[in-house]
Amino acid sequence: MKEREIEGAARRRKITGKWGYTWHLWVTLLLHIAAIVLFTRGFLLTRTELPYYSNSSDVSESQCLYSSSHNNTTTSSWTKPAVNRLIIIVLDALRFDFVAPSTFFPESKHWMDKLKVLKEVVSKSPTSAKIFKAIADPPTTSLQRLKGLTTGGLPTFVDVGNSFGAPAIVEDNFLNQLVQSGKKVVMMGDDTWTQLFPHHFERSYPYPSFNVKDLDTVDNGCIEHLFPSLYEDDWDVLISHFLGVDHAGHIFGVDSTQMTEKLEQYNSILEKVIEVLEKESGPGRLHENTLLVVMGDHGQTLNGDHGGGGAEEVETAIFAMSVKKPPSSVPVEYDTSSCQLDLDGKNVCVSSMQQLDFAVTMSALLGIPFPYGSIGQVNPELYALGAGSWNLDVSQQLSESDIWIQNYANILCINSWQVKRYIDAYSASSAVGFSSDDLSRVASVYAQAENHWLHSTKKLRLDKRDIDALVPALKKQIESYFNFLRTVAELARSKWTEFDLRMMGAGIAIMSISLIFQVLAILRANSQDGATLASSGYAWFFSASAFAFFLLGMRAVSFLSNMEEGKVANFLLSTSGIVALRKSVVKGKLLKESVGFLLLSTFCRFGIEIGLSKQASTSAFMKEYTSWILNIASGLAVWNHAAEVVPILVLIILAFWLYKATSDIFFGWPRKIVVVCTILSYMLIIVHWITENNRYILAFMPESIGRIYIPRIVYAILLGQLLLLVFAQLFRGNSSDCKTNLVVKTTAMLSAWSSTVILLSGKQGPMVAFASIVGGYCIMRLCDIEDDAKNGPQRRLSIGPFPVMQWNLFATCLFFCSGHWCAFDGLHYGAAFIGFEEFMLVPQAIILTLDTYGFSIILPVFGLPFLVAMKYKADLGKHVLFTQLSQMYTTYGLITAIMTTFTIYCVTMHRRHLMVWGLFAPKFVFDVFGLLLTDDSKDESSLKDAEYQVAKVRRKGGYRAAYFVFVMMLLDNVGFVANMVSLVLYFGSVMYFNIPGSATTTTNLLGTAFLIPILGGFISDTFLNRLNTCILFGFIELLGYVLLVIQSHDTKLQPSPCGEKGCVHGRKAVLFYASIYLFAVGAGGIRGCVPALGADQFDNNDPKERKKLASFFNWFLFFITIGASIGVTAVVYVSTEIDWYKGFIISLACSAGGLFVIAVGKPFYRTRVSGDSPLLSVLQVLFVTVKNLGTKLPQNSDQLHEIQSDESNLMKKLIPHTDQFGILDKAAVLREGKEPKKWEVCTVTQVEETKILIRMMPILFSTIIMNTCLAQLQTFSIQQGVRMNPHIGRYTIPPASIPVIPLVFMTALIPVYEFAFVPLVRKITGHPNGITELQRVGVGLVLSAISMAIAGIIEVKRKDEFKNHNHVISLFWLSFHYAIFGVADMFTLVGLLEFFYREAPEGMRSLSTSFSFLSLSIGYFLSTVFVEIINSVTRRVTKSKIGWLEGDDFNQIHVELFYWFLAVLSMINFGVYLLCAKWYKYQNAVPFESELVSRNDAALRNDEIEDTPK
Amino acid sequence: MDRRKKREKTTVTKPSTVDASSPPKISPSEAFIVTLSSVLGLGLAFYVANSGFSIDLVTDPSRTIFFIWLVELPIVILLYSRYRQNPRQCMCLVFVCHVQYLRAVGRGLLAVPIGALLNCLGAIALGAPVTFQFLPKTVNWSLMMSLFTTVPASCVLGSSWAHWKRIFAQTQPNGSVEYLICLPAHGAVIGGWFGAWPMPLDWERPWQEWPICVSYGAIGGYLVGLVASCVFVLACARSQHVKQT
Repeated sequence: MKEREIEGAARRRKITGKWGYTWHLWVTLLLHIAAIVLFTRGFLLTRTELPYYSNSSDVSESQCLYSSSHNNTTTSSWTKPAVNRLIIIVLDALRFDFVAPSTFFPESKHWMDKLKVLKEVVSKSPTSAKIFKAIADPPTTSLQRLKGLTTGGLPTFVDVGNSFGAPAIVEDNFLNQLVQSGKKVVMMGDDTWTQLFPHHFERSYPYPSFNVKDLDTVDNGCIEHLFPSLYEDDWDVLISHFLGVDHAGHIFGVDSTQMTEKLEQYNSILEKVIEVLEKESGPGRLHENTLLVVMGDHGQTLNGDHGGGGAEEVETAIFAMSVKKPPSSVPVEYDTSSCQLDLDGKNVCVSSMQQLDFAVTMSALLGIPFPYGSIGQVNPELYALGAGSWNLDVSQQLSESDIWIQNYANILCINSWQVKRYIDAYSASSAVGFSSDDLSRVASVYAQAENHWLHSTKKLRLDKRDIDALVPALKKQIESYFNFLRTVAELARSKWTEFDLRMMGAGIAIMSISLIFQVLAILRANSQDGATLASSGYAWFFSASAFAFFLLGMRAVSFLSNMEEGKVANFLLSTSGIVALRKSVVKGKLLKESVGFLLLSTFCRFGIEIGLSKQASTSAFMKEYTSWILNIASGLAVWNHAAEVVPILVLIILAFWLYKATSDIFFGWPRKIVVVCTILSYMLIIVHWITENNRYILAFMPESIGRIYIPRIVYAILLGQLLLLVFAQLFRGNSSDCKTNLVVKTTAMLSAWSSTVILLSGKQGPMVAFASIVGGYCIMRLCDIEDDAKNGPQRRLSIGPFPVMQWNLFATCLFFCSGHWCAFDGLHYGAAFIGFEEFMLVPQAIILTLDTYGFSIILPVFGLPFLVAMKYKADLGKHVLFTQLSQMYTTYGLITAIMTTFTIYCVTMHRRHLMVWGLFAPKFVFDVFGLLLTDDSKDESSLKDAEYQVAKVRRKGGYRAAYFVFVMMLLDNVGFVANMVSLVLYFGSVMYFNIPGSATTTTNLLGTAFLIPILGGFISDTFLNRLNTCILFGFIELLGYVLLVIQSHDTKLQPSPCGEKGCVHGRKAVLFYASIYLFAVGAGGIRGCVPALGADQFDNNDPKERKKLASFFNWFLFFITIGASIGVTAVVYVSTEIDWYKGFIISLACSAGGLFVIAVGKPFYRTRVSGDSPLLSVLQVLFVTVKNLGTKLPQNSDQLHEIQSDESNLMKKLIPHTDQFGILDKAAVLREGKEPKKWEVCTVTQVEETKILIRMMPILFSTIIMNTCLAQLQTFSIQQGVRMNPHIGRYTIPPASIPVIPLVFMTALIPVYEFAFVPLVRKITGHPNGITELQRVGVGLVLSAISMAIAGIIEVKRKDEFKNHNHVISLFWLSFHYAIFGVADMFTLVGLLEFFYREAPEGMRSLSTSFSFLSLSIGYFLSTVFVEIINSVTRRVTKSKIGWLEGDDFNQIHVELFYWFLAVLSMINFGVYLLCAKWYKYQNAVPFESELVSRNDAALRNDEIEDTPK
Repeated sequence: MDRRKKREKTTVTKPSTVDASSPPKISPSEAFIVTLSSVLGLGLAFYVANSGFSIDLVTDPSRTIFFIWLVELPIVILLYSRYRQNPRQCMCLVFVCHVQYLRAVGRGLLAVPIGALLNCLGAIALGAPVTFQFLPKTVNWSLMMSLFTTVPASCVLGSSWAHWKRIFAQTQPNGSVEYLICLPAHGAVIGGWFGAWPMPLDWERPWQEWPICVSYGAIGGYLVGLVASCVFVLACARSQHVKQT
């Protein structure tokens, strides 16, 4: 029974592997993303921006009286302009009580009554100046408000996210209308304006707005440009946006001296502005008819926060002053003002209006068309300020107020018509329009008003007789328009919080599914481990789990109507602490930990309260507490000093702690470096803090070093550490104990993150970090409270959800503890400017994320493995550990997901609730971010950990591993071969090389590409393992491709034709050579290590695998040829016929795919440990030989030096002594009185390795000639092909694709060879591969000679046909020698590869397989040399004095002679080769046991059929 | 949750533990009297607060709780001290008996501040406010909780750590008196814990203030615990009766 279980577990394990531990996490992530995308689309409001614009001629469509009807001018305008110039001074975050007299408020605060000048103006001339309480619509962030102010619409919530990016406004707006009407606009101040309106300003002086620490730059800039502009006449509208109050609020709060100073500064500025205006206000002067508006875009809370819909945030002020005194005030019906005596006893009146109405009122005053999307109404009181200019042309029989009413009614008519037009257009064109009920309601209200207008008011007005009836009718008319506009505004307010319930429902459903999925995943994992769950402690396990989920449920339910999540989390944390304490009292152990945990959670609680008190806008709380979190220093100098010193001390303790902790365990060097870097970062942070506050040190070094560069260094260190950790992942930690490994990794990861997180959190960072370490430690210890010593190894294995729950609660507490809360004003924008002076979107968004989630998600999630690691004292094996880990991460994810799901439910339930924007929506966004981040990081970390796991359980090597190599080679060769063939055309056509130039470049490139394999082989033998070498070179190759793509795509980077040898110069040349040589180096390097990597997968000493090794090389070539065939056809076609860069992109994609495949196969590879440098060893032998030339060889070879320790056995096999090259044996003679050291004596093995290399050399060299022949196929034969009939059947073959012929033949013949030839010959020879490698090479050499001979004959035939019969023979004829050469190549190349791999000493296999590429490389170079030699020789010999291969006319030159020459040379070469081969002694001439073959033949055959790729 | 579970478990294992030691016994009628007087004390306190001073828990929690613990203090101490451990020794000498009784009362009085401190710490760990504004409320609440939880135990059990641990940490009351100690105490704590739930909600009711709803919860839990312990004492007596016959 038990055995079967174990067997089953083993099988499962085999199936699962790396993905088995993580796949459900990925699925969860996907589900969550889907759910959140759906839900967000339904929930976060969207308002379609209409691309329509109001036009000045539109107004004729309305039934209203517009101004042109009076004047009969050609250009009609919507309203009669009432003011000529407009000055808008925006004071950011201007609270209403900054402007209104303090007597309006129950309590007088000292920030009130600072803008005295406004009150004075209002009390002095109440008709021409007014103060309004302007109610803004949330969200009250600057960008949204500016958008709302200018468009007259209601920007939606989603735009909050855009606040960082500040995209240009595309909707119709006030500024756009100004520009359309030919008004000139000048702007100074906040650069958000220029981002919103990039092309609207005549002049603009933008200043950066996001650095909240800077109180003065923007304001000073405004002042600098404001006053000169006031005296200029080149503008109609001036906008000046001051930011000081906003920034002072953010940094110091409203109740601060900085705020008061700012307000006083503004007071004096405004005083001056008004003074200037009044001075220039005479008739004909600059500001004869100017309106001054001083306004806030939104308010702020006492802490300086804004964004939500709280009363303090939405209430801001507008002060408006007309320089031209209007004759009378507004009729009382429309006067909303309330008056109070201010402190000086003057009567000040304050009215109220909606900010929504601003745009349309201003448009009406200026006489420009109303913005298309505006839904505001023209505010009567504000509009009345412009009344001074339009009472001239109306007959005097009406009183002033009657005229005013007439005018106003008409404007409201236009206003209503415009709003109605917008509503209709919106419903027609928006995806989510208004419901038909609402539309018909609006329509009926409008119809009523319009009806009234058409049938009574308009007539009455035009009549101008029945004046008595007119005024009441007008009033009634205005009332009905008000009614309409109010209805629309209400409708818009309620409906632009339009939720798509179906989307939301779908999101919730998917979220719920993911919950179920996660629960199932946990249950499944539990049931797999069910057998190991001991019954003891089961009750505790069960009740603890139940308790955990009870707490979880409580927490989730509390979201329904919860204001203080932090408090609840802490309450639950403390509860769990009390339960743990109770348990530890019962068990009588771990008392210290549980009490400590409880204390810690109590401390947390105070931290959270302080954080919350910042959120609740009263600062009263802060004064009552003197607490452990800093910067609340209550005036005492001791506190100040403590606030400085304590964080630094704690940080030092942390660093010391880290040092101590890591010095105990074994750390690999990369991780050691990581830890050291962290300690360094800590020190840097200390320096940073000291320089920030201490003025003495500032004297010694520039401020910016401390403030800017140190944080940047810390960030850079973090990046470096992470890279290092990834890098360390490549070198598998060789500590066998995987628990230690886990601890080491987790520690390294945490320490890497910690420094940045601490830096960003500011001074409280070290404390929070300290607390989190203590808390984490306590949780870890407490989770094995139930374990009794007597249980011993029978211990319960599962961790259960309780500690995970505690962990999560603790993380939540830390989030609140570090002063965050779930609202946008809870973000620490200041943190984003640590290390940055000005605003940059991406880095600062990242930093802000790190700050917000550092303590609550990043550190806890990466620290979670500790729970598992601590749990198991003994090393229980990887499977257990990783199952646990995976399960724990799932549990953690489940907890987070449940929280988010409940938030979503609550958001859905409260979607109509007032608080939804202030509270739930931000909470939703935060939770969602948290969830995704959790998912993501847990996936990452568990995947990272799971990698170890795979190492042991997976059967490695064999064809399964080789498949990856095959696919890689196939993909990589698609691009490689194609480019090798076609780059020569690229050089000519795009880079404008001439023909010899491009030929030389190509040859050099090819030579490089085939020389580099040696380097690649060397590296992979010595420094890195083969896979890593391959990946390294792969990246180089990709880089080369990328550069090629860039250059071939961008014509600016290409040279212009010049007619010289090379046209690329300067920067272009650098790019060009960099790209092609990176490509060549990368591709070459890959070829140096991949064959050996593949061959490593078969064990040469196992007869079964030895046979597979041979077929491996066959298949290897097979896949290369397939890839090459695709390349030379498809890619070459794309490159030459469509576009070069597309071809390169395909190559790039294929190579990247290949690289990916080879990397994915990592768990399957057998890896050989890289050893000493083989070349160095050879050098040693030669050196010592020379040194020992004088010594005598001992008679018996056994007396030669050899290290017989186990150590050397581990590294490589010992090679027995051979008698060849006796002279080298002298290197192995230990001279008397010498120590056996390196460079003094070499081992026999070393000597024998050298001998092997020397023996192999002649073989290598004798294949060079063949490769010279091969080179002809790519040069002369293609030239031949060009002069042949390219039509085969109906297809036309492009010349560059001619090389496909041998490839096709090889592709076809390799299987034949593998399946037919080898078994057949094996029967005869008894050799497992049919014939030996050297025989194989020999066959290839003969065939190549034959091929050359045939090539010559065909050339003769071609010339003959052409000259004598004027007939172009078919391309088909080329296929003869191509085919034969393909076969030759198949024999030789594969034979060589296999030969070198098999014969080379173990330490230099990559190197030696790359020798076959060396032969290729030399062959190519030799080809050029031969052509030159032949030419120079034949020039003298032949009668015509022209070389065989000289001249441009291919029909005149004697290629056939050259071919035959090569054929003869090949035969001679073959003779030499025979001698060499005979002389060669197979290294480990394992006598092949024929008996074995016959016995195992059938079995082997079966194996082969199974294993060979189909 | 797990506490409740434990309690269920103890009811099952009870017969085996009854004979283990010689716990003080209490007859069902006596238990009923204790319960009744505690409940009546509570009622009296509320009545006095309500009619005499026209305050209740919501309007003036501090003083109301003060009345509660003031009324409960003599009731609890005097009643529970009668069931102190090893009362048999005093059979012979009435004087010794008196001395023991007085010592139990003294222990009870001593336990009032100590228990209050413990409860207060617990409450603060769980998030009770610690400003001066709330100080009298917290003190009064702690004293009340002390009377509900630790005082009876200290009157009956004295300073025996083992007994305390058994009753409060393991929830394994042994004998009828211990039921009377254990269940109301647990009831009060758990009730208080649940009572804290409405506090962070945004209903903006006056009773969401500290310690009003917590006190309601604690008192409710205490009452439930008293009733439950009565039932257990009854059941306990019955089973013993059955055993003896």
